[in-house]
Amino acid sequence: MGQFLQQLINGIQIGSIYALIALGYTIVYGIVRLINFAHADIFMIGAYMGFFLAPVMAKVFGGAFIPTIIAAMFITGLLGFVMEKLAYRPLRYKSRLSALITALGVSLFLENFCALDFHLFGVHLVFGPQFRKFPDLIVTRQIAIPGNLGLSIPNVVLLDVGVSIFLMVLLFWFVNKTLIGKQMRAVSFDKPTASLMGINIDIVISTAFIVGAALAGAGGILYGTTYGMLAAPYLGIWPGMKAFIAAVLGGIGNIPGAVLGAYIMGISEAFATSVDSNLGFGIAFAILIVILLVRPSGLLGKFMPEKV
Amino acid sequence: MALLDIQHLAQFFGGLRAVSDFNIQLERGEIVGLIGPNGAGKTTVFNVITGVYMPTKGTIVFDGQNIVGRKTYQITQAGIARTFQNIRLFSKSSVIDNVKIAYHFHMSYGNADAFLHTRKYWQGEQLVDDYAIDLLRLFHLDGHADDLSGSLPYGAQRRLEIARALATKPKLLILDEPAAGMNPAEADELMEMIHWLRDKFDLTILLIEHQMRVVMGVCERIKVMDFGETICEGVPEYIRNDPRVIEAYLGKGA
Amino acid sequence: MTFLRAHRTIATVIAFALVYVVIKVLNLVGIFNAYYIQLIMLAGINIVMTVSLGMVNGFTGQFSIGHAGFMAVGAYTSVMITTVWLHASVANPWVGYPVFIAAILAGGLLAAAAGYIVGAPSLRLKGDYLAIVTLSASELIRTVIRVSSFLGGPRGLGGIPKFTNLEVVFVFAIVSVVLMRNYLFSSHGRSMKAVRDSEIAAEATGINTTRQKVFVFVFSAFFAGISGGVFAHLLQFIHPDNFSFMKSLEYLIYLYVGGSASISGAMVGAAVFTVLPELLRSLQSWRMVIYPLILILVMIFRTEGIMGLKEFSFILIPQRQRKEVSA
Repeated sequence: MGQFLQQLINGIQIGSIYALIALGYTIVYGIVRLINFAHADIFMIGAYMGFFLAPVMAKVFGGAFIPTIIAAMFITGLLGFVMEKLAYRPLRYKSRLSALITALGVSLFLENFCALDFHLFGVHLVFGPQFRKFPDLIVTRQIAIPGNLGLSIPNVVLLDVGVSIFLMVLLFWFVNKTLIGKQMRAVSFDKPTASLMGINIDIVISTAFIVGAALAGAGGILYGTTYGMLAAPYLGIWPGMKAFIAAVLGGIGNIPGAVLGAYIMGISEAFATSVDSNLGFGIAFAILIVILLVRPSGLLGKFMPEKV
Repeated sequence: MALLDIQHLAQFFGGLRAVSDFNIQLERGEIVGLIGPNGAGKTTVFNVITGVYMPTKGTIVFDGQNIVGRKTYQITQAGIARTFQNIRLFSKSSVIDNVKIAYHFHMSYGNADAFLHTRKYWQGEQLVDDYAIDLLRLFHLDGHADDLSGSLPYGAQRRLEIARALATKPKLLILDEPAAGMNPAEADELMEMIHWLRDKFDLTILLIEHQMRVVMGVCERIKVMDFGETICEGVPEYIRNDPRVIEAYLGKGA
Repeated sequence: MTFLRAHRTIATVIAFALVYVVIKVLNLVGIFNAYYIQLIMLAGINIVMTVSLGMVNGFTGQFSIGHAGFMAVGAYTSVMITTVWLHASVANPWVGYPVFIAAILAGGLLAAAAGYIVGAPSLRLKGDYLAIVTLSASELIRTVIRVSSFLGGPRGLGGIPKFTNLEVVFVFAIVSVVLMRNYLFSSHGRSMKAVRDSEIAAEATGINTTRQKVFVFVFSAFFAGISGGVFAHLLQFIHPDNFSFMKSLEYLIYLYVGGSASISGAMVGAAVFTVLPELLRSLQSWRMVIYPLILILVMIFRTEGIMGLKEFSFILIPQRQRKEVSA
């Protein structure tokens, strides 16, 4: 029982991080029907931002976590905006295939650019492929679970889950209660008509990218805090892939679906890994295969036939 | 026996009743028109017949076979060809290739011949090239045979779409707004062409059209739809004067 | 064959034979050392890989990003046959080479089977999903190799006899490209392009689009598998990391920058990018930064790639004279 609870908690923990990444994929796909391959690398950059910003934040603000995560989200949001403007907007009316290829190119570029490792005028460019220890943003300690199971969970878990849920609630409010959120939903439903209704498509698309990127950045900070180390600028690839599969599982384009898919993915992975580490690796693919064979539109997705 | 027999066809999209209780029998050689205001369900009927949608209810029997549930390409191979409301040519292929592609499932050689360029391949290619150029000639498109189909003027693209549909050697030809974007002179040419198509290629023709001059001039029988339902059916003179039809198009009090 | 066709074919054959002779002479004279010959051989392998990828991504309009996975299947299968099970050797060429050729073909067939397993279920779905499926599939293949100790596992497989030489690569590259070119210029090739241009219209003209997509995917995997076999017997050592996602991405870059709408584009992309890094030795560490940048710039400013729709004359099939008067 204790094992079961332990894995469940692990699953919810990693699921929370996957959720933040998956939301970015799903929001962007919902608005422009593009799988933003570079999204995983924004997550990675968020994590590295934590590494570089934490000491500064600690000095300026005293406490490191909250200012760091806000700053990281700001930077990654900006990066998302720039990425859309430079690389995707020129292709908006060209074929979707070109946009997909470009997304792949952007992803590759970011990974390898960040992996560059040399000095220019005394500045180290850029992140280098070496292993870095993520700074301690919070003081880690165990929190005892009430009851007589004798269990305790690290406070990091509460942090991950709490911050994620807080951001998800914020997103939910943003998408459903604000004007721009409503516009985003309109554009994702029917872009040409939305623009005919006076909605500024450019602003909506930029907002979608900014929001998605900011969430990924937050995910990156949580990732660094949880795992304590950054292996290389390629660290975004696997979590990104699993988060994308999670978004597909929930129904790509569907926001609650991304959250649902992420938690299912996280929990399945936790239980699978506890049985065998190779199984944990393969579970993501197994889920993908099953969902594509059984229900390609995802758990909460709708099948949208093309108008002939 | 009717070539096409549709009984009690219904197509619902969730709560939206796009088509309710549609019935039609087409005899061989007829030219029948399907008209109605926008959104009446006409193209949906076409899409159901050609297998794009699976009907919610109803039966479709073509040439003695039930075609409900078959895929689009199977229905085409069974003998129903269609053109599209917004032209869907293979824009990056040449004019003659568009026609040759439609002939593909009649082609005599297989994959192995394709890879190895065997004698069968060369014979097959000669056959389809001759066939295609002859067909294009009938439509006055042979001069453009090797041009990119996307570069043709609009009227020529429409003709090419019809020529392509004919290359599948259909028994029933379904035309979705063939006169769209045509001026009266072009529309007259189209009407002549439709009669000629029926006679020369031994076809049965079902068409959707908004230009009344074309509908009245070419159709032997007309069915009128509105909001997914059939509101009238008969010969052109009868339809023209029916109050329900007038109301559907022009509103009450017209 | 008409005179014109025979004439053209002979001219092409002579041209390629001349190229081969020139390379050999340069090698003999010492201008082209073994290193350059290896580069030419790699270019040949990359050309076949890129052209086969172009069949799926360029001409059928799909987005497959795991091509290196099929290369891995072919590589490992052929090596198991020649090296691990049959211990073939270059020292005994009359036995060795037939074994090598059979092993290569077996590798291709197994890769084709893998292509069917991956492609048949996923090509039914809308385009975006194929990317994620092919990526996952190639990673899955690599994982299977890594955990299988009989395949060498994470230590790789070595001691592979060097069956691949310039002659082998020439023949293999020319035959492969000719076969794919032939298919492209057939009725089936036209259908393939129809699926790319408008899948809905293709269905409406009687083409079984799913079967067409799957068939192209499968034979594309076959050629990738054969390339893998030739590759393995050149490098003499293979490792799962030789066939990673990065490798698949390289072929994508070669294809899209060269031009995905023509065979010549694929050939140009492969040749240029195989040779380029050697010319720009000093920028090696920047290679994977510059390549994606080139890809992005090409997509934005010249989407059709270097060659666009144009083909080299030796790729095209000579047009027959059309009859003037119909019956």
